[in-house]
Amino acid sequence: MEIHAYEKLWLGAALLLIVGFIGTVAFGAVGAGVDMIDDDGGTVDPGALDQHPKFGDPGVYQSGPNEYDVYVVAQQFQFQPGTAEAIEVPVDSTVTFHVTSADVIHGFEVVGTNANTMAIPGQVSTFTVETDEVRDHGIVCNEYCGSAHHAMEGTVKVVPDDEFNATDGGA
Amino acid sequence: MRLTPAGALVLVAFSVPVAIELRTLFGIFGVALPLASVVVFEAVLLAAIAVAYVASSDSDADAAAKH
Amino acid sequence: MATFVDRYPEEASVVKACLTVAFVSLGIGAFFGLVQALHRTGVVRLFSSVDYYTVLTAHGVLLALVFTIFFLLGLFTWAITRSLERPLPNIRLTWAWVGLAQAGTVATAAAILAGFVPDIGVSADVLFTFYAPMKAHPLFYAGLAMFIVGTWLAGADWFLAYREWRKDNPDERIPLQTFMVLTTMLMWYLATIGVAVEVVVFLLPWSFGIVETVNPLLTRTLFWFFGHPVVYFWLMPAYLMWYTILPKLAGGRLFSDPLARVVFVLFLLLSTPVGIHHQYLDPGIAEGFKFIAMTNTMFLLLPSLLTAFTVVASMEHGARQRGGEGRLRWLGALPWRDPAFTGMALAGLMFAAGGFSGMINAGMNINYLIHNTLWVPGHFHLTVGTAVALTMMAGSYWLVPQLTGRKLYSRPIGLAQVVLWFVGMVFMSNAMHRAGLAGVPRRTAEPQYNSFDFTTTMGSIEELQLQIAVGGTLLFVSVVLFSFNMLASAIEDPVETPVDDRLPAPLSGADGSPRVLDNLRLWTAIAVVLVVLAYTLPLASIVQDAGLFGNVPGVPMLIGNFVESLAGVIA
Ligand code: HEM
Ligand SMILES: [Cu+2]
Ligand SMILES: [Cu+2]
Repeated sequence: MEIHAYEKLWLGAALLLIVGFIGTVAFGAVGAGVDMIDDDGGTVDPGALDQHPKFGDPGVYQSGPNEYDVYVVAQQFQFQPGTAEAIEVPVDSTVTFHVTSADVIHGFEVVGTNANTMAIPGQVSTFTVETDEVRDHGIVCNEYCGSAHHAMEGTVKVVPDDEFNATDGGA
Repeated sequence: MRLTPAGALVLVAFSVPVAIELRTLFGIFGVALPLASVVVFEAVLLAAIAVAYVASSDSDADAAAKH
Repeated sequence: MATFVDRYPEEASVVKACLTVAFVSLGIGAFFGLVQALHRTGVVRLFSSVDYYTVLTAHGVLLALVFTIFFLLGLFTWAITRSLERPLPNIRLTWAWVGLAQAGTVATAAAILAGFVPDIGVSADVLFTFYAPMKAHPLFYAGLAMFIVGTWLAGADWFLAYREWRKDNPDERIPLQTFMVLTTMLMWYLATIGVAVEVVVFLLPWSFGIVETVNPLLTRTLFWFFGHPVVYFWLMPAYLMWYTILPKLAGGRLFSDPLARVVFVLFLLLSTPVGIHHQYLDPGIAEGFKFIAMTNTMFLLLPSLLTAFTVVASMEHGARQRGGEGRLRWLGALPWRDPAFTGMALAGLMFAAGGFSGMINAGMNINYLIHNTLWVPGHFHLTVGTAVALTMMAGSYWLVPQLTGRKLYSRPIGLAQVVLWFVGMVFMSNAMHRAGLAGVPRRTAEPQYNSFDFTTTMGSIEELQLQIAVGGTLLFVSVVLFSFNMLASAIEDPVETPVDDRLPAPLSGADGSPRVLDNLRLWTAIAVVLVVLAYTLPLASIVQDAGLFGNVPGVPMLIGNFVESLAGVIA
């Protein structure tokens, strides 16, 4: 079968491009340590979240010097914490989010950043971020979850160390 | 070469993304163009196409006249 | 000289029946699209935002499933019949699948549209992805199941036709269009296993109340098992037209028949083991599985890149046949006056742009920035919404006259229509991509929030909103023009030769190419193995997490909530 010379050239370039793409992502994952959502968060019983040691009382928990865990329950149509009260974390700390859902599938997106995950009932999503700037971020539910989906929002406040009050936000 | 009415229409269509992306292009170099500049740029493109169209149909008329 | 309808009158009726459903869905769907574009940007809000999701469900189902797939059913019936040069073996079977698919469509559409009238007590505001535990009325799932079985029977019909042909032509190569139809259908059989299991085993019994709970991650994963290859099910009709019709419209011939076959085989092999790339942000799936899906996805770029080459090369060949010269000046020699050609060429151009934004989506890490933002609809309105939809509309200008024996009513209107689509889509899709980068979510009736504002790197959010609204309006006008042109064409007087329907043979034919290309059994077997490799472990671990039927009860959308809250008030 006859393959045109230009076509061979094109084929080679295409393959190079593809391998290049895979290479960059592989480098991002292994080399640069970009964090992906995976199965590390484990599972929970979505019907018994209130008996869960952390999701039963969701909020900010200190886990070490400058290290915090934030437990968030998404449900129609709010984040707990996040919506009624903002999630507050201190600046220059390492914060691990643990997100699950109490009813349908929701999204949890810190607007304009790549802190973004699905919240699936029965599953726990975990991801870790570094807080490097004092400012407020919006949170939106970016997965359709019912009639008032568009009203489902929240706030994360990154505050200076001295303003941080560990009892806010549920801890 | 003759620019047909259909060809001109396609060129006009094509000028739209070019104009819209002008700001992205400048944005890469850190220049924030105002929206008005896009409008002006698009107007220039349209004028250029119009000129090319009129010119090519004139030369066409000339060519036809010779025959 | 007779055309398709004179040679195969029964088959022509079948094709017309399919295209009619497709175009009616396109009209209704486009109207809903306009409503969305105006509502979510806040330009005009005609109704409450609760109904937005009914509209959006209908838009997704009617356009992404009904319009595209019914067009495919019609096109493939035409392609099989004309390329095998014989009528279908059993026209009763043919009408049976047409009827079944139509009945399924009506049931599903009824379940969705009933959502506008709460009194009926039926609704299915679950969007076209219907993620459990959101629960729709059983009619919705039953309709879907019927629709899918309809497509299976259609495939069986085409395979039977091929078998009959094979009996009479034991040594010939499979005609190219038939080859494309058959490989696409093999991919479809493999892909629809996911959604069939999801709907029939899990969701349907659950919506009837026979099973209490679901495993949401399992049904979601089964959905995407099907949800990515369905993308290629939309695309393959467009590819069939780009490979076999566009070169002719351009005035030339297809560059290479064997390479077209290679491309379709690659799609059969690689379309399915990639679905997990829609789940990069899902918990409960290990990173390694996501990485495998990404690698496969990147390789899936290859057949599309090859297609880009062939399409451009065939167009250039056509242009040179028409006397075009120079490095780029040949572009001027193409038949831009012909809406069928211009529409397909513009669709191809937009597909290149869509492919580019698709590469961003496919990158596992960059995906986190744009997942579920407006970027995503921005992307797929270029691919399915233009590369596919515009090619289908443009192709109709050439195809429909063969089915009716009547000339197209107006070529200038056709040309205006395809160009308007292009311009409208540039506005809408461009602004959607940008808004997505700013974090504006998709599937949201009122993307405006109390606790924060979106910040854009360039231009303002208001400007982007306006672009979406203007673009959506132009697109809607384009569909109106298309529908008008089709209707007006239907009442033209029949003529002897409504359109030049000959398709010239490719420059290099199939004869010199390896016979193994036509070995459908082999390719299917490899495709199955790849799917088993990509999916066994993730599915096993998901089932291990929460069991087959899971532990999450259903949450009815939305009437259920309404009834419950009413019950709450009374109690
Ligand atoms: C008149 C032309 C069209 C307009 C104005 C339009 C407009 C829109 C808008 C604004 C959205 C985003 C809604 C949201 O996320 O909140 C959307 C979603 C969508 N559109 Fe279109 N669209 C058009 C044509 C098409 C076509 C031709 C197709 C496919 C063949 C298509 C398929 C879809 C799909 C699958 C969605 C996603 C639905 C979902 O998120 O569940 N659209 N459309
Ligand atoms: Cu939501
Ligand atoms: Cu996909």
